[in-house]
Amino acid sequence: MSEDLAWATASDIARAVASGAASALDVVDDALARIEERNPTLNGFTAITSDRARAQARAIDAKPDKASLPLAGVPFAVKNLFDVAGLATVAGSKINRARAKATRDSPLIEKLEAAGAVLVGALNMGEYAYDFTGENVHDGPSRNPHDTSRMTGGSSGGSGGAVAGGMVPLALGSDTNGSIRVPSSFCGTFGLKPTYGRLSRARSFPFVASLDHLGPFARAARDLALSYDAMQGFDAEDGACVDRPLEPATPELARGIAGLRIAIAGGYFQKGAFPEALEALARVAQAVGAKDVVEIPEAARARAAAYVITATEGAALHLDRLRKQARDFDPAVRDRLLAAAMVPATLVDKAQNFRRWYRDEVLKLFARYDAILAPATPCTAPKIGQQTFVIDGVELPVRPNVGIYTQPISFIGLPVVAVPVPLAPLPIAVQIIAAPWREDVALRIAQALEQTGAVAAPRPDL
Amino acid sequence: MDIDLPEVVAEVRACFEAYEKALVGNDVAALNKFFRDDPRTIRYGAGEILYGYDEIKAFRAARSPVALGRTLARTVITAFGREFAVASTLYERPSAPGKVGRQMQTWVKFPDGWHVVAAHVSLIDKAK
Amino acid sequence: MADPLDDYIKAAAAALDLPLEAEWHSAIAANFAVTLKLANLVAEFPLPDEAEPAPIFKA
Repeated sequence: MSEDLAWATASDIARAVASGAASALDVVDDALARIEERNPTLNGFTAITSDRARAQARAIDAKPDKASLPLAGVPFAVKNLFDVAGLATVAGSKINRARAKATRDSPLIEKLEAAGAVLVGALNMGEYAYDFTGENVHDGPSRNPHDTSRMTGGSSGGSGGAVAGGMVPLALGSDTNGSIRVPSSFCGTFGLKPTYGRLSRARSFPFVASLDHLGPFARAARDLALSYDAMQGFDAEDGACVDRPLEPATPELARGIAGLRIAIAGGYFQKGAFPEALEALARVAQAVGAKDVVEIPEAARARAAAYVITATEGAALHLDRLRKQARDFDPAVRDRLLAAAMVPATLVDKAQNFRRWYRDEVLKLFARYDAILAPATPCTAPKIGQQTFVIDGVELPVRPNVGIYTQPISFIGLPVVAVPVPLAPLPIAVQIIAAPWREDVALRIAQALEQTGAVAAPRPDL
Repeated sequence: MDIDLPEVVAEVRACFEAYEKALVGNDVAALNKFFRDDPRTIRYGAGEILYGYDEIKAFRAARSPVALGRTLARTVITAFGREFAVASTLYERPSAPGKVGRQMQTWVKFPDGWHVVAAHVSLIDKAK
Repeated sequence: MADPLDDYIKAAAAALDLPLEAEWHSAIAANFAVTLKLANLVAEFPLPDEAEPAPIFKA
């Protein structure tokens, strides 16, 4: 039972619990046992909410209408920047441990639980989300289940690791420049970064208001769609949340991809790609019959602009903490934020101006195509602590360069599904990029790819 | 015979550059238009031997569109008279580090414009 | 020979009331140089005077 449940999808679990074939309590007890067994090695969880989880599971089992709950009994966990009632929202930091405990869950947790899911804990992340590795100086590194000497990627390191490692079938993370897509790539999971402004960011600890997105990780495309649908809905408490009607993606999955025009991003998006990244891209392109190569204009400049906006907004957010508690930061985060605090505003304004131009140019491509494919990361997971790698014959630092392909896309809030290609010995993901508000298109393509076997979340040997 | 008449070289260069753009963008329709539709057209590619337009067309249709990006170097176009030219270029692909590619094309002007009648592409190790 | 940016960093830290421990200086200077380089890459892109920023305020 336990091995089956370790790798069962959220969809499978919900069906079993909704029909009464399994109890939510058994499912949750099983997950908690697995977390206890695996977390000492994988270090994905920073908090386990077992009492609350069992209470919620019992409540689900007692519900007369549980057959209608789309995520009945599904255990899930959240990056520790989400407010969880009764916990301080640490956001991967030491400083935030002193914060008052949250009095209420974030709205995305509330919505998932309303759909029947069960929160089992909070997950490790890079400090204050300014990270692409999943290593945390205070809580230790999240470890990649496929090779525990390697990084999960970040900043949602625990989210990728917990799902890839079979501790939970569903996790939430955040993505500012790649923090859902990079761990999805290194850990071999499916990840959804929705359109900027689609899902509420209320009651979560921020990083860059201009660029922050929240979204799910799972081991199946359908699970991404189910959780995404449950989490949709306007929330005035998040100033960036856009008031759109609910647009359920799950019913669209069965439509397949006939008629969708899919292109491949060339130029910048293949420069510096290791052979694994190109192999994964080629397999996905072939599986969907994508032939046209498009150039996303000025992508290098877009990445530079995202970098500047990220650093300076991050510095503004943390200015007071930098003044008073500089020594309590991760030194790598502190040094970047201190430097960014000194960047003149004129240069930041230039970046925001460029951003409008770039958005308008890229949207022209979506008049011709429904989706664009690009690698998620240049390479598979580096070793924990690895400082440099060689891209295009040049030795570059790992940390900022892991996100070269993700940054220009989140910069303008386009929805992306990261799909894992099960290469050996390590997986690597491809980004399926759609037009704003067309998460349905990206999810349909992900589902079709999963059905052909071209993409899958590989099971690690644990 | 006049070698390298400027207007002829310019015409061929424009075709060469348009061909290059179609190649890295995998614009199969445009690539097919550049090669002469004739069983005598021959293309020796980096990994394939193609006799006749049909074989070349089939290759284009099946080719993976990934990792086609490349930078050109030392491109030389030489025109002999007004209806014949040879275009030679070196190239490097980020996806094939340590190798230098060579591409030669024979262009002939027909009533409907310039077409490639013969081409050869190959790679060798870069000199240390 | 001191980097001209060193003076800028020290002055900016003072003006913004930011702590600048001696052992942090070279990492901060390196980060600042990278950020400046990327910012200038963006700033040199020609845009018309009428170009609007991405975020537009609504009263």
